[in-house]
Amino acid sequence: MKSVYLDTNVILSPFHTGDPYQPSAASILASNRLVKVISHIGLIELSSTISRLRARAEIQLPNEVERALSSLDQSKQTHSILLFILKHSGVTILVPNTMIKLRLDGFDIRISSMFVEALDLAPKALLRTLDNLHIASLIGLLREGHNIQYLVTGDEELLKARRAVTSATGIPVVSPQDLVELEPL
Amino acid sequence: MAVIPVKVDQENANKIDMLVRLGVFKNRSEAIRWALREGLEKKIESIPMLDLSGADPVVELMLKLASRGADVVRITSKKTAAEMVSEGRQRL
Repeated sequence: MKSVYLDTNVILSPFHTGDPYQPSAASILASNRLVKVISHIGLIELSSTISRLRARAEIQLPNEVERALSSLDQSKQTHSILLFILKHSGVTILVPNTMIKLRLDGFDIRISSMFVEALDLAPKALLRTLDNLHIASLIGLLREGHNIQYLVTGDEELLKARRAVTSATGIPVVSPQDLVELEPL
Repeated sequence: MAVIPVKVDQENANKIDMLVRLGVFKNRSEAIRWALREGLEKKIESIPMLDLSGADPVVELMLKLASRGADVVRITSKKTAAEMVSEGRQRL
């Protein structure tokens, strides 16, 4: 079974009928023939995006769900929606956990290897910081032996930078529509 | 380095001295620094960072509704999913 690393927008797209990738992202998330992976960066981005959408009343939920949520504080409301989206989509959260010791100004500090990858990648790929952290996280997972075949994103900027990203990760960067055409779901 | 005066019970003091005698550590300070670092790492790892108690029944309700074919989460933003996420990326 093939594994795909999903950008945050791909996770949200199936819930947004106005999104151009909605049909293909929905097929990907409904597929039992793919292992769907996000990292902790994706998890934080999902939480952040859901919070913003909820603050702007741009997420509609059934009345009985809203009633059930009303007994929870704002943070738990957001995370309930987040957990539902992850469980409903069958997404696996993988976190690169290799720690590296760095000597900095006389102090030994332990940091995730992901940040070292991100530092290395920044001048090569010229991505925005969070995009860079996503790719560094993916590189970390690949280095730890996770067999991931595609990075799937609906972000035009990442799609435009696909050559640099593929050069850094060794895996193709595809849109949800590309993946649906490339792989039998 | 910071200096933190600390009292240690006799049993642990004996263990520290034994490890110093055996050459595991150069001195008491090095032994205590090691123990402190190990202990703090374990403690930090054991802290539950996110308390989601109370969320489970709501998530179960949402999954139940979805299994019946309901549109449980519907995003109505005028932006695309990529643009919604990008808002957060551009603020960095």
